[in-house]
Amino acid sequence: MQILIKSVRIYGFRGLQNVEIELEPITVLTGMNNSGKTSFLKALQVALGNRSFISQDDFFASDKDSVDEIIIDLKIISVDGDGNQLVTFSENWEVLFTEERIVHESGQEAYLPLRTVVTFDELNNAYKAQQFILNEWPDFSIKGKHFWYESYNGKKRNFRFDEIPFFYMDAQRDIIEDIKNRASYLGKMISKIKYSPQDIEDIEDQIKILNEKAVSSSSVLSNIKTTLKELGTALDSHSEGVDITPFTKKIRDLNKGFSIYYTDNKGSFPMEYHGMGTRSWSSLLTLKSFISILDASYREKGEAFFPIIAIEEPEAHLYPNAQKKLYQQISKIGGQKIISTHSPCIAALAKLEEVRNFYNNGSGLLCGQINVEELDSEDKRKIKWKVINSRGEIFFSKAIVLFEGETEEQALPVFADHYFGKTAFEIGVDFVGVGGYGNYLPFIRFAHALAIPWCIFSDAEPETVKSVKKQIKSSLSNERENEVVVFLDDGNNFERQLIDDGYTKEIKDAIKNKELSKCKTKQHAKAKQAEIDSYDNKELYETISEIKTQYGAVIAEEIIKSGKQLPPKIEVLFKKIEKMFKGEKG
Amino acid sequence: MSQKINLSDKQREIVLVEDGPIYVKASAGSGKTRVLTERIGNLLGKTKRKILALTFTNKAAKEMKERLPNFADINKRLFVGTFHGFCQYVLENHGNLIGLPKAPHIFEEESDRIKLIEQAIEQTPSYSNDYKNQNKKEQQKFCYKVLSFISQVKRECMLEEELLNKNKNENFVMLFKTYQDILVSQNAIDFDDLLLLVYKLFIQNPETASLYRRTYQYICVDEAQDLNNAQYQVVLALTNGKHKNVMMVGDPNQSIFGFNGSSPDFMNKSFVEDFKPKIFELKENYRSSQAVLKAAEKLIPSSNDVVNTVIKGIFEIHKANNEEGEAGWICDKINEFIQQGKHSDIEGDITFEKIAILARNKYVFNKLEETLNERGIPFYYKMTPGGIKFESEAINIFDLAFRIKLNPQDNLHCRRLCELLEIKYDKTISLSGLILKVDSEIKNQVLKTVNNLANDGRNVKVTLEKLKNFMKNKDLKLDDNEVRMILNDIDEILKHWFNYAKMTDKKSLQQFKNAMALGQTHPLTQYNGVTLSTVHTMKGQEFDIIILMGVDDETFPDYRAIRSGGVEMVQEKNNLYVAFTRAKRFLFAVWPQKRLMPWGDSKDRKISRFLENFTL
Repeated sequence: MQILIKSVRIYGFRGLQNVEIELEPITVLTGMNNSGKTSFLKALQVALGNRSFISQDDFFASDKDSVDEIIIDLKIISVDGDGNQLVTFSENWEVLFTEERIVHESGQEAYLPLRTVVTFDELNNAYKAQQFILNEWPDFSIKGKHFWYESYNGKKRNFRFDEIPFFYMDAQRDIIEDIKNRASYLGKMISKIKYSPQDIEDIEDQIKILNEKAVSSSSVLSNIKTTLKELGTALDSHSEGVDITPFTKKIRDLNKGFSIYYTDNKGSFPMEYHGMGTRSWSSLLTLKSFISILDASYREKGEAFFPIIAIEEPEAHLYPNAQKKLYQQISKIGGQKIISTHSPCIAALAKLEEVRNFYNNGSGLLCGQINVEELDSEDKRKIKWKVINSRGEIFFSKAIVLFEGETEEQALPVFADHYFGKTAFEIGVDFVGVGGYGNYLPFIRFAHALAIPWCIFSDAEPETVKSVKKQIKSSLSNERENEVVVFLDDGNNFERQLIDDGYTKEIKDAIKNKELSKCKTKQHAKAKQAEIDSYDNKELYETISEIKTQYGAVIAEEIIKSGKQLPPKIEVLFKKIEKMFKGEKG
Repeated sequence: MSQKINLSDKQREIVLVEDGPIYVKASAGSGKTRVLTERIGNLLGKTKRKILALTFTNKAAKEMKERLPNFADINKRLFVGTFHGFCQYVLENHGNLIGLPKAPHIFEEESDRIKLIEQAIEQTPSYSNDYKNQNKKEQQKFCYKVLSFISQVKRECMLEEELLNKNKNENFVMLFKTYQDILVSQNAIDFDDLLLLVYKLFIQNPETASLYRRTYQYICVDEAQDLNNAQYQVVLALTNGKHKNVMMVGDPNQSIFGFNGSSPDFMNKSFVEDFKPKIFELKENYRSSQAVLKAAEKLIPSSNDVVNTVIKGIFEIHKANNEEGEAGWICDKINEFIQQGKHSDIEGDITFEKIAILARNKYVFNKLEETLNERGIPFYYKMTPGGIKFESEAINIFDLAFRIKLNPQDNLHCRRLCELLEIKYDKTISLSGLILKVDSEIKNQVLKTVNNLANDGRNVKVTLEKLKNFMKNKDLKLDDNEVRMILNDIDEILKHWFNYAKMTDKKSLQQFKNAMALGQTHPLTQYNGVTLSTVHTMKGQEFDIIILMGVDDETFPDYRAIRSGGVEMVQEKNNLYVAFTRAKRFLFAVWPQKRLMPWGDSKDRKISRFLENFTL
C-alpha cells in the first residue's frame, strides 16, 4: 500500500496567485512558457524539499495585488497499487505520520492535510517556512468569497520525512556536472561506495602493478620518472623518490578519476564527447539508480518509502524517437512523478487523466485537467486516438476546430493555408473531425479542460443542429453557442453548401482531375469530360459524397486556384479563429 | 536494557505477556512500577506502534518516564501522561471533529471554576438575590456544592438531555447550563470536559477512535484503583470491545482519590467483567530488606511488612577506635563493595552512586572528607537548594548586609539585619546609615567590609583576608570556638568566590550572589560519587547502601537535644528512624570510641543511647 499527494493548493507563489492542482501517480504538466509549470514544481519543493532558494521574487506580486505570505497545502491520501484510494493508511504510514497528522472524518477516507507557510522574518532578516497540520481540508472557496488559504493553520508540526524524499531534476541537468559535483545524486552515490579493507588492498595492489607496468613499458614515462628523481638531490630530502601514477592511486579518490564511457556501434566515447541529449538523459538515469538504491534499503528495513520526483522537461535535447521512450522509463521509477514538458510525444503517451495544462486566462495563471469521470471508455478511446493521431500536438493547440466529417478534415487546412498565409501547423490550429455530429461532447470537454479555445464547424440538418446545441449546453462550458459554432446554411452539409455557394465549376474541375487520368483512351476521356460537364447539382452532390476522402483537398485547391472568394461560412469560421487568438469571444 | 535485572518469576511472567488484557493486583513495594516499565520496554521492541501509559499525576508520569529503559525515539513511541494530558492531546489533534474551537482555554484551577460559578449565579436572577443575602461562608459552601454537582455530571458522562430527567434539583441544572454557556462564550472548557469531550469524540467518530486504537497497540493504566467513571469510559470508548491489550495495575487497598468520584470497582469489577483479563497478584515486598526493616522495627515498632519482604539485606553496627578509624573503616567498606561489583540483593553493579553516608550534622564529615580525598574515592555533598548557611553570627550579618548592598530595596532582609544588629528598623535606612549606628566593634567592622567591596569584585579576596586578620585579634576577647566558626565561614565564602571567579571573565558581586544561590559555585556540584548528606537533607530519598556515621551519644542524639529532653528527644529518635529507612538494602552504623575536641584532647564516647540494646 502506498500514498499519493492527491491535491496541491498554492497561494501567492511566483505567478501562481491561487490555484489547486490534483495529482496522479504520474502527472504531466503542459502549457506554454511562463504558464507556471516550473513555479508549480518549485512550490512542491518548498513544501517537501530544500527551500533555501526562496527570495522576495518568489512572493506573488502584480499591479493590483501582492502577498506577504506564501501558502502551500498538500493533501496526502492512502492508495493501493493501482492508485485507488483506501480508507486508512497502512501500518507503516500510520506509524510514520502518527495520529497527530492523520485526519479521519466519519464515513470518509483518511488523509493528511499539510500546510507550509513562508513569511519574511524581520527579526532574522530571513525567510521562514513553518509547517502545520490543518484541522481539516477546507473547501477551495466558500461562495467564491472566502478561500482555503484563509482557513486556520492548525497545529505546528513538521512534515519533512526522510521516507518521503523530494527530488528535483531541473532542465539544466548534465551528467558531466554530476560527476564533478559531490552534492549531485551521482556524486552522493559515488561518495558512499564502500569496499571491505581486503578489497581496497587488492584493488590498490592491482592499481600499483598497473601503474608500474604503464610506466616501465613507456620510455617517455620512464624518462620523466628518472629525470624527476633529481628533485631528491636538489631538495636534499630523504624522500623515497618520485611516483608517476597514470591511474588513480587510492580508492578514496575514485570520484576524481570517475568517468563514464558510452559505447555505440561506432566505438566508445567519453561522456564529454556526447551531446547534451545523452548527458541529460544519463543524469536522469542516475537519479533512477539513486532512488532504487534508497528504495531497496528501506524495503530491507521494512519501512515506508515514497519519493516525490519533479522532473523539468525530461525531453530536453533529445530527438523525438528517444522522447517516446522517456515516459515508459520515468513511469518505472518508484514513487510519485510530476513531469513538466513541451514534448507532444510525452503528452501523447500519458494517460488523459494524467495531463494538466497550465494557462493564463488574462487575469492569472490557472491549471486545467480532463475530468475523466465525465467520459465513458468509448469517449476516452476516441480522444486518445485523436491524440495519437496528432502525435500529441493537440495538447499544445492554440485552437481546435471540431467538425463532423472527412471532407472538412481535408478541405479546411487547405483553405486555412490560403487564408492565413501560413500552414495550420504553423499557426497552431488543429482541425479535428469527430466522426459524426453526436460525438462533439468529449472533445469539447477535452478542449475546455485544457483551456484550449475551440469552435465547431457544423452541418445544419435539423437533427444535427438540435444535437450540437444540446451537447454545447451539457458541456457546461460558459461559451454561448453562437460564439462557438458556425452552422452551415439551413439543411446543408459541407458538400451541399459548396454547391449552393456556386463552386460547381471548381467541383467539376476537381472531379475531372480525378476521373480523366483514369481514362485509357482520348475518346474515353473526352466522353467523360462531357459527362461531367453535364452533371446537374444532384449528380454533382452524389459524386463527391460517394467518396468523400478523395475530394475534400482537391476541391479546396480548385477553389483557391480559381481566385474566387472563399466560401462565406469558411470565412466566418476563420474570422472566429482570428478573434480567438486575440482572446476575444466569438 | 543490557543491565541485568533480578525479576522474580512472577514479575517476569507479567513482563513477558504480550497480547490480551491483564490485571495486576500489586501491593506496596511489590515492584509494580518496575514490572510496568520493564513490560513497556519489552513491548517497544515487539511493535512499531505506540504504547499508551496512563497515570494519575504528572509526578507519577515523570517518574515512570525516568525509569524507562533508554529506547531510541522513546518519546515518539510512547505516550506517558495523565488521563487529562492524553485527552488534551487527542483534542488538540482532532477536537475540531466535535466542533471544538481551535485552541480552547482550559480552566484547570478550582479557583477559576469557582469564579465561573459565581458568574453563572449572577446571571441567573432568580438565584442571585438569594445568593447575595448569604454570608461569605455560605456563599462559598454553595459554590463548591454547585462545582461538585457540575463535576459529577461530567464525570458520569451524562449528556445534557439526560440531565433534566435524572436530576430533581432544577436550579442546579439551570446553573450547570449557564456555566456551560459561559465556558462556550469564553472559548473555554473545564478540566472535566477534557475527558467528557474525548469520550464524545470517540463515540461520535468511530474512524478516529479506530485510528487511536491502531496507534496505541498497548494500553497500560497505573494505579488503576484510582479510576473514576469518566476515565474508565474513555478507556472503553477507545478500546470499543475490539482492543484487548489493556493492562491495569493497582492495589485495591490503596484507593486514595475517593472524592474525585474514583472507585476501585472500575478496576476490580468493571474491568474484570468487560475485558476478562488474566489476573496476577504481586504481594512480595522489594522496597526494603529484612535486615533494615527489622532494625527500624526495633527502633520504633510500626506496621512494616517484614513477612512479605523478600530480600535479606545487611544491618551492622561498627565501633571504631577514633574518628580516623571510623573514616578508614568507611572507606574500606566502600572499596570492598566497589571491588565486589555485584551483590544478589542489589540491582546492577554496585557503584559509588548507590552509596550514601549520613550524619547528624555536617561537621561529623570533616575527617571522612580528608580520608575520601586521600583514597581517591569520589564524593559530593547533597545540598538543600538555595544559598549557603553560615554558622557564625558575624558572617550571617555579613550575608544580610551583602544582600542589602546589592539590593537596597530588599526590605525583608534589611529588617532581619536590623534585628541582628539590635537597631530599630526604618524603611529609609541604608548600609552606610547602619554603619554609623552600630557600636559593636566586630559588627561595625563586618558592615564596613561589606561597604568596601567593589562591585566588580576586584578586592573581594584582599578585603576578606583583612577581615580574617581582624577577627584573630585577641583584644576582641572572642570565644575560641566562635573565632574558628567565623574563620571557617569566611573561608567558605572565599572558596565560593574562587569557584565563581574561575567561571567568568566579567565578574560582578551581583552575579556572584546569583551563582551562589543557584548552587553553581559549590565546590562539589557534580552528582557522581558517594553522597554525603545530613539526615535532614536526605529526607524522601533512598539509597541501596547507607552508612550512618557518628552514632555516638551526644552526636546522635545531639547534645543540645539531650539537654532539653522531651519533644526534642522524640524528634531525635524519629531522625534516626528516618536515617535507617533511607537504606533499601544495606545499613551500617559506625561510631568512634574517641573524639578529638577543639582544644586538642580526646574524649571517650559511648554508643548512641538509642542503639544500646542493639546487640550484635
